[in-house]
Amino acid sequence: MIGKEIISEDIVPIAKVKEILSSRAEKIELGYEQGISLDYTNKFSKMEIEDIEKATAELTEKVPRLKKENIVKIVDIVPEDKKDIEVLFSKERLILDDEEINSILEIMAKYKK
Amino acid sequence: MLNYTKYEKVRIIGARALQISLGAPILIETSTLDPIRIAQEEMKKEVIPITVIRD
Amino acid sequence: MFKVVQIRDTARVPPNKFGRELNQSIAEILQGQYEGTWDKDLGFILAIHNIIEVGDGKIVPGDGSAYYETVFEALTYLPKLYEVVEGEVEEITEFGAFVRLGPIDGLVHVSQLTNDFINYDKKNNTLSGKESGRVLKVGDKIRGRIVTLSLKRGSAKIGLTMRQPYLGKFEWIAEEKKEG
Repeated sequence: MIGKEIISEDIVPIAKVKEILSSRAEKIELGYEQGISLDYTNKFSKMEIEDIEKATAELTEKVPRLKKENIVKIVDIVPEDKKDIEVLFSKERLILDDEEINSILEIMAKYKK
Repeated sequence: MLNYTKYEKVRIIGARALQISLGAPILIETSTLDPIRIAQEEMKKEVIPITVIRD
Repeated sequence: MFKVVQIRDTARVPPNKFGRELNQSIAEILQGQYEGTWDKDLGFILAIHNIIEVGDGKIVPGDGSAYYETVFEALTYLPKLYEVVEGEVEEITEFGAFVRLGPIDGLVHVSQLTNDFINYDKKNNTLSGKESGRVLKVGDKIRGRIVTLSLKRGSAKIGLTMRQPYLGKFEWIAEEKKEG
């Protein structure tokens, strides 16, 4: 195990990983896994960090039943319709009603690139 | 200033000499190459970045 | 999923790293020690990117190094069962497609690609469905679900499926949506 104590754990979106690794790349050459991960985040991060922060705040407010983990998945995948959301939640205990699904879609439509 | 007992002094010099022998940067100008002598000189000039925590 | 984890640990700084900016030395030491390793709870340690706190150094008899109590942030990757993930096809083989999910790859076995019978085309390096004519090749972007996961010391094996509605190659999902 690493370290003596885990103080906190925070699930982060792909865009955050991109930010961390690209600022690292400015200072020193990245290792192999860091390099392929940065490449991955360049290809798959779909929203800007600032928009993710705003969207996260709105999602938390409008659909308070969403956990941090759910929200991060939503801003990573950026669902475009009801079916996209169903894919994300089909293995979750949480069952969203239509109103909640519409709120998510509205927020995503607003911030998507 | 540094009011160390002789036991504390020798412990600090010993620890510092070991650091120097393992490549720590030296904090004074000196002609000697012996880590223990360098540590002793550093002690005299009170530049060793080590303190004793008494508990 | 990726996480930022705050960890408390002791860093051992050898004397030849004294005299340089301490946080920088400690960052390099922790990076060398942990980056690229697997932790059984945290997953893959991708980067140590932020030193938050460094305490006073301690010296122990018989060791020239100084020991610093430190708090730092690590970027980690830990795949989760049933997680929906997106990635790019890195490699096509007879038995399936390897998809890059970040620092590691997952495998979509041929049986998990489509409901179709799958042919492996060695010459063109593709997998194609017999009935649907759908083709998967290196560089294709896909969405899948993690259905098997084995985390062992030093590595992880990830199995993905695309055989569920709204999973698959991005183009297939788009087609599926058009058909409604």
